[in-house]
Amino acid sequence: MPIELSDLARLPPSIENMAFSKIRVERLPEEEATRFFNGLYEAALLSHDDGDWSRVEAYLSEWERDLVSRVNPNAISFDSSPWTAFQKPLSEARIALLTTGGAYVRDAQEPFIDDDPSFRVIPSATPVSDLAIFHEHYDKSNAEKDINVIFPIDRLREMEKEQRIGSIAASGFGFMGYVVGDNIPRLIEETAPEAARILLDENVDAALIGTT
Amino acid sequence: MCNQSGGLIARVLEEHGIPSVVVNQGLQQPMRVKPPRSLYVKHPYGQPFGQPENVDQQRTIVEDALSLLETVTEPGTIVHSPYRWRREDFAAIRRERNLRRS
Repeated sequence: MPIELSDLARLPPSIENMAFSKIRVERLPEEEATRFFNGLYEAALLSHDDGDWSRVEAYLSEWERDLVSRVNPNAISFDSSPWTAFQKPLSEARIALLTTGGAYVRDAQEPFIDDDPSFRVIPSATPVSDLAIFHEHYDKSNAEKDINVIFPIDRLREMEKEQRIGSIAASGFGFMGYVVGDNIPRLIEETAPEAARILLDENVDAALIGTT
Repeated sequence: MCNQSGGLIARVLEEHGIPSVVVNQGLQQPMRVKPPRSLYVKHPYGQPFGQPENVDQQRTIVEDALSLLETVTEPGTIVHSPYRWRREDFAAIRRERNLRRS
């Protein structure tokens, strides 16, 4: 008797709403469901071998994100990439740091709101202890312990001191990456170009963008 | 949506003449959005540069991401970071790198 997908992917009602429960394998075409189960099996074997079970978590998280985004009207696709050649050795380049993690300067700036395409300019000399985060769509606990996990300004300062990069741009940028609906065109057509103009004025050679 | 927004910002910067590199924790978003250069790290969302207070890990990822500016020649390239989020000896990785550099 052939196996039905609905038998493989059935969840007991008690865990119906837990993390990764949105994967809903039973709705997938058979070929893709096979790929899911094989990948999961492989991840489990590798994780057992090296003890790093975060691989399984990352695998499930990836599938869930992908499957949710397929039914998500906010998912944007492009067929090609724009390109600007990087001209200098890193050791001479001025690097700007950007995050989508919702970082801003505590007290000095307005926090973000949910679904907000605006940005905050974070002056490069701002001590990390002055930075705060507004973001309601990722687990902020590690970023709140050490903001370098989303905005590694201390690491860039070390690299500047060691002359591994030329300099840090005067302006860093905090965006809050949960941007949907009409705010997506606002990000693309208004706020991100404004950030680009500021960076051009500062003669920035490249941007490092940490997403969350 | 964050990994998407980061890719969209990268595209805009690039269109304005600023080379960019994005660090992603998901693969689907850079595959869809196609920022010019992406480093894919197998971390949970919300920690592109690694674990709190792990200077060696954060530094390794920053260096790897920036190195894509010098090495990637094909627009839309996604480089997979070889490192795990945890249980990786980043102090040793950096020592070895520094030896190779000197």
